[in-house]
Amino acid sequence: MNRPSQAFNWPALLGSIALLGLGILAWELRWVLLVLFGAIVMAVALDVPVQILIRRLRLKRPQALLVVLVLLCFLGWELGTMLLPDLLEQIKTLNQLLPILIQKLFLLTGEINGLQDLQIALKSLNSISNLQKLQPFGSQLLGLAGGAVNSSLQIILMTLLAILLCLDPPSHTRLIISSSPRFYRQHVKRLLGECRAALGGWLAGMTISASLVFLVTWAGLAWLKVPLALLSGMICGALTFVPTIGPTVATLVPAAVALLISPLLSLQVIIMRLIIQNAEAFLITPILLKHTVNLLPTVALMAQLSLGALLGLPGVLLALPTIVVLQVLLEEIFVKEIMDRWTLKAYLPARNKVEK
Amino acid sequence: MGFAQWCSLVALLAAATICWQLRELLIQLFAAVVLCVALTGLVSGIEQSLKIKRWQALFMALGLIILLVTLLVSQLVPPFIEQFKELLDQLPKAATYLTGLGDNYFIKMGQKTNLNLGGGVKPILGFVGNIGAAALQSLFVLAVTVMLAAQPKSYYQVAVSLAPSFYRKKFALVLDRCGLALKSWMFGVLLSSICVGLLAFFGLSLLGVKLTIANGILAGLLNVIPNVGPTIGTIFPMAVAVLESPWKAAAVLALYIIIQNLESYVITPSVMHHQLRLLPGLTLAAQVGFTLIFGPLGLILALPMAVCFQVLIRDLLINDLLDGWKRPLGA
Repeated sequence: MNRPSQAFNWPALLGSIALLGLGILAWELRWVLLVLFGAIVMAVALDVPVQILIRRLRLKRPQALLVVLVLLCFLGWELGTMLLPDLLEQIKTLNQLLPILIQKLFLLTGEINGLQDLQIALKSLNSISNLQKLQPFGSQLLGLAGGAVNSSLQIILMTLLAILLCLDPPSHTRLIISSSPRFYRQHVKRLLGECRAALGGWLAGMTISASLVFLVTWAGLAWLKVPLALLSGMICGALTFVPTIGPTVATLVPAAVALLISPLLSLQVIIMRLIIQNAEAFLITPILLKHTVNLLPTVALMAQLSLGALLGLPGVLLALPTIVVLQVLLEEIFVKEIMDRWTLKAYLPARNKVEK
Repeated sequence: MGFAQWCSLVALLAAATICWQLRELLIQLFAAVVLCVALTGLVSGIEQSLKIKRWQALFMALGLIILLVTLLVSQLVPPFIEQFKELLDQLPKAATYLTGLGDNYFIKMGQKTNLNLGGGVKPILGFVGNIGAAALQSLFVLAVTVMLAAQPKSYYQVAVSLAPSFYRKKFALVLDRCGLALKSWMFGVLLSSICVGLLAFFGLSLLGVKLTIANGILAGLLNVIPNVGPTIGTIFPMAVAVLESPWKAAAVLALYIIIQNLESYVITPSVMHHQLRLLPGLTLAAQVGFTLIFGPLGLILALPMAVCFQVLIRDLLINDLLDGWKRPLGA
């Protein structure tokens, strides 16, 4: 406190105000950041096979990326032509089945006495408000279409960004490294490498486990002779990437379809899905991710719900990759850099200074 | 202040804002932690007394709890629904009997409700949505409880590693104390709830009011929430008693007031550890504050939270910060 110039550090204050401004700006532009993060995740996913190609076949990076993209397109096309007619038919039957399903649900709820009032109320709602609510419904539909266009635009943007990022990762890495203080650059380099390894390991492990879930679910549903087995299997496989919440939601599709045939079959489907889901969560995933990522289940669930509350559905979808990266950063920076080094010796002189 | 300090200030502010935004989720996490403390207490008790492995004890404890809850629900719900229906049937009669001018009013009400059926649907849908959200929330709390109870040691280590290195030993100690305080508080509440439930059961059967078992269980359960819970618990047996005769309702009210005073001045002081006893004003203030911040779940969890905060404030704030705070030499 004896020297005012030391007591009040103007550059530091200005720098932190700039930091605060940047933080607020980032919060306002969180959608862009979310798309960017999705692109990074995608780029890492692309980078894993690209690097294998570079190492094995001694290709250059653009060529390897091209090969991977062409392969992916080819695979998608093949899968599409193989599965699309089947899938289209199944979606058509799903559309036909949906009204029947709703009726069946009504019948089931009708059997429970207490809910009859609600049913009558719902019917009256339908008859009364059809005409009045048509207009807002129209605008809602427009909003929905707008949302679909918006999200497809976001996905296209994300894919483009991912390809651009994957084309030249070293220069992007260099950009990030050069934007950190000089004494910290070596460390940032190491951190980036660790984040990439964790993310790549997580993605590879989850891809294997998702395809396993897809195959087992498909086979199981086909064995139980549930219609729409392929579609349900694909949904269940894709939603494996969103742990805990995803598989639970995914179970609803085959269970609802099975309910059309008989409640017993639906029960069987639910039991089968429960077994698969638990086997995936407690056996396959821990074994696959043993050496790369060690996520505690509650941490994953909390991350999903928190990001869902803060950022909506895209937050839930991207929650796991985010928490994988955040865990590495927290462990390396927060725990090892700050908290582990924060001893009483470093703390006491500061306190003495204040007391003087 | 240097750049690093300013940075940490900004980061702290951002963290606080995010925590405030996510307070509903955090209170659910706290609920899961409280349940987990209870569950781990039960699990380690089974583990030690039966000399079996931990996961076996965990499964046993879960099975025991599921059995108990199904028993309680099967005991509580059907008579309540029946009685509630009867009450709803009787209520208009009682109202007409009391006011004497009810007829016209009720006819008007009937007409209004018929006309407003479309408008009445929305609250019903909202109500159904609320029930769905509450069911999802409790499912989340239960899932997190089981996950936490499956490997409590690793979560404990993570929590300790988030503290500064010079403070880790103390922080682990404080966490242990919080857990111990919660455990002994729950044990005390369990004992006093059982006492209150038994007293209500015997009192009601002496008075000859219907549904003695269900009302006794309800009184015991609601005893967990001080002040508010017993008040709510009085309504139902009084309503049941009113159906029979008004003086019985008054007797029930008197009985519950006596039980309440017995609980707060005799039972609780004798079963609760003296360090866990909160001043009554503090209890009420905590209830109001936590309800305003966290909503209805805050009301239910007000007492365990207050117990935890008491330990934290005593150990961290008073012992470590304020007690060592000398007057600066220059001032």
